[in-house]
Amino acid sequence: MKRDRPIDSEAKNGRKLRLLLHGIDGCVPYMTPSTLEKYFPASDDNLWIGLAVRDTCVMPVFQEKKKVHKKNKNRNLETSSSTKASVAKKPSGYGFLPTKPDSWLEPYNRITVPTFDPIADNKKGSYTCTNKGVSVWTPHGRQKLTPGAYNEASLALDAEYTLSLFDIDDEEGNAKRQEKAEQRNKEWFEDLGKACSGQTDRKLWAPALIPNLINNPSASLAIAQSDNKKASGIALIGKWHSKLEKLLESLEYENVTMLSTDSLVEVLEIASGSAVNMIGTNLPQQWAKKKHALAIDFSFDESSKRVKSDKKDQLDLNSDGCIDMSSKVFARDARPLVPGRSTSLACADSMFSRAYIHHLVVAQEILAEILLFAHNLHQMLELLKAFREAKDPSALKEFIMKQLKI
Amino acid sequence: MISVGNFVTKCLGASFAATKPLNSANYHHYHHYHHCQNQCHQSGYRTSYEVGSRLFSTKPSSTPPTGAEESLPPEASDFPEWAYEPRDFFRFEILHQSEKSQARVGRIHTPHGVIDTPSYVAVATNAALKGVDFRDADQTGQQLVFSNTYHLMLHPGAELIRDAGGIHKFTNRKGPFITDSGGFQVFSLAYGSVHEELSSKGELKRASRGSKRANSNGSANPVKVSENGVIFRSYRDGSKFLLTPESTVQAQKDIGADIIIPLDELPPYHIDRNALVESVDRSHRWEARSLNEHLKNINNQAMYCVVHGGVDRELRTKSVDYLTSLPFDGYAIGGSLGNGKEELKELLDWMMPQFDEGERQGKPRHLLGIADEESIRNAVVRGIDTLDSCYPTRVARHGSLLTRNGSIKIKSRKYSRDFGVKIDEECNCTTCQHYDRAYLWHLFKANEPLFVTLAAQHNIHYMNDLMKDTRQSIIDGEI
Repeated sequence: MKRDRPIDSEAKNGRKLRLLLHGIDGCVPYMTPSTLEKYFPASDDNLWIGLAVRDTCVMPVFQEKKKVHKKNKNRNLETSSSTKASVAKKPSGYGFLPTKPDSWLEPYNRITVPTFDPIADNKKGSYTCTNKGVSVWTPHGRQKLTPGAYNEASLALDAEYTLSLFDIDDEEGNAKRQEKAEQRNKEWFEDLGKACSGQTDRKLWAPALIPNLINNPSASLAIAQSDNKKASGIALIGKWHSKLEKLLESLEYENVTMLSTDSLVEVLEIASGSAVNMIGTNLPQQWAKKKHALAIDFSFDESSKRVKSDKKDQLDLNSDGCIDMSSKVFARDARPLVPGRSTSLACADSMFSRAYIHHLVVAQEILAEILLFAHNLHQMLELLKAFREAKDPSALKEFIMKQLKI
Repeated sequence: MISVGNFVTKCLGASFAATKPLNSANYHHYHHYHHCQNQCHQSGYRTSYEVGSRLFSTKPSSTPPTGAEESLPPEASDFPEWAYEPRDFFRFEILHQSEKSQARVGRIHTPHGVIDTPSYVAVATNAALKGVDFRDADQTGQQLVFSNTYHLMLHPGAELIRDAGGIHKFTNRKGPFITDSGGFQVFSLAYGSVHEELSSKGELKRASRGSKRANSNGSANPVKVSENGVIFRSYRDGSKFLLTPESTVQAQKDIGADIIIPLDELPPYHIDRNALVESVDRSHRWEARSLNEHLKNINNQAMYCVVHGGVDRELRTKSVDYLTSLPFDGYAIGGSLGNGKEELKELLDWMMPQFDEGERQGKPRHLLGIADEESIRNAVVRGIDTLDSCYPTRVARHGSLLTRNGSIKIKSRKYSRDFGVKIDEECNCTTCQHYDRAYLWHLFKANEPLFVTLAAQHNIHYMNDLMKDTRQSIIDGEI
């Protein structure tokens, strides 16, 4: 870990609110090192990168095999010079192996997690748990991730923060199942604590399953109090619930993170509160894949500079506050994606027009997704900044919600 | 509605009716530089008094012109003298001429920047490189970028790009662009890709020659060729487009590239000689018409001719002689370039020395659609200055990475354990600086879009490095 910067970044009013971007497959989507450094530099403490062992560390496993030439078959193998140990050409399978992160990611704030969205995975049947570990779906088929393998792989990723392996039960699971999940989570958290007991600079996060947290908060949060290593933060797993705001108010963790969000409305609900100080999401990439650009106006404060909008500027936003760049209305629109405000890769210094991005979308050029992702990520960071600095976050939330087509 | 034949040309003493009023600036030139059959005899063309008015009528001919009418393109002297004067916005300077071969190092000066030659020209089909932002490509040393008029006409439309301020403003790229006429793509609709045509031995072309039967794919003829131009259907929505020598120039004017190319006919490799002769002659007439249209409003754009003739020496020589006599700013080598690298090499062997004669030597030469390494080596030593190909960016998408030891197919499992191994040990691109083969293997297998960007950046960087090394080798006397 090679960071010398202070970790916390606070707004003038003391509010912390950061973005945890899902680094699917161990990378920041679409961003080469040079574009990432230029437009989303590591010096910005508000952008954190999450790496999931599930998709970053799955590697082929090759077994050594001894090749014996036919004519040497009956000879003493120890003395035969024609016996060679070689690595098999085909993998015997896939497993989770210790993997180093890309060198250019090292300056960024990073967190290692088992997976980002186990609830969604669970619904697809691709995240199942037993006492021995979890079974996850990867590009190479279903693989078993044991606590030992997870601890080794996650520590090799060398992030400052590591979330322990966790079990999840069904949202409508029975009490026994819930209890079992909590038990496993506590054990696995302690295992991780033991695995990095000598490393004082490594901080652990404990998982908190939202349904369990609401039903039995004390048991759920007890996980974070292991003897070996107390959690410096908790990661909320599941769908945001309004009850959580009050529940989490009294917590004294350095970090309370919502591991995954899947809609702008959910982000707004969390950001307008004060319990959570980091929001994890994959939305910038999801929107880019759908050719959508985040275009909400969140500069509602009269004292701030904003572009006056008239009827011509009013955009048809969807429920996620995005405009669909495949729409023909943008075919001749020479304005940047979000006029007057943004300084993203797609907007300011480069000034790609909506017309050009629309053309790229229609022409099915991958550059469209690259520009849209960079724009969306920038807008998300600006959105969280607006909430950090807002005098009345609830009012800001309402202002934005009115723009959405819900 | 695209107008047809909307300009006047003179030939052989025939008087013309202006099919559309010329602007006062150039009308008098056409009358003043009217010449007759003596000039045409010298260039090898037959004379005809009937050519002008019937050839360049406003209405599309309902019947194709007869052979005599078709055979006569305008003479060099039919173009105004001022057209032959050097341009102040475009020039080519030769910095070093090899003593061992025809290779030379030079610089092409355009309104949007300089192109060091010999140079690789990356292809941005839809005004975008596949997966690579232009600024990243420019950082790899990419100077000239090729965009396809055909695709841009179909979407977003040349007029829209004009309204956006031209391709430079539209794409937010300050460097030089070159656009083609659209002819290659249009004729590919009939003949298929070069590879398809070569391997099908011309089966597809029979369907494009007016046969009433559907082609082997069961669909109607995609292309109809007449003296006026080419009618084709858009692959986007099936709408009909008429591409004429004039309309393609107008489209390229709207797009606003620094270098533009006239309309030419692209015959297949498998073609009988008579048909090839007809095709070459038609290309000459079309290119002259395009040139005339271009000269009405030069718009700080240079125009390259396209030399044709397939692998026929006589026709290639005729094409070189004729087109280099006209006031084009550079020469592109087009048409069918043979069946394979050896035939291309042979073609360049006997054709390229013709470009060293007299004033031809001082203009840049571009090889269309070829840029594999072996062909680059063969072409550069024979005097080619620029080459374009979508090959590096296309193969990048499919996992092929170019290295000094040949290309590697990253999807192979053997790369999954190449930890710390760059794609190419001598490459300094951002991909090689930050990623090893093992990780690229992982990205490729995971279908990550980032792979396409990294691979394309590397391949473009590799090509630019290759050309930089080639230029240095020429200067060092090694080539």
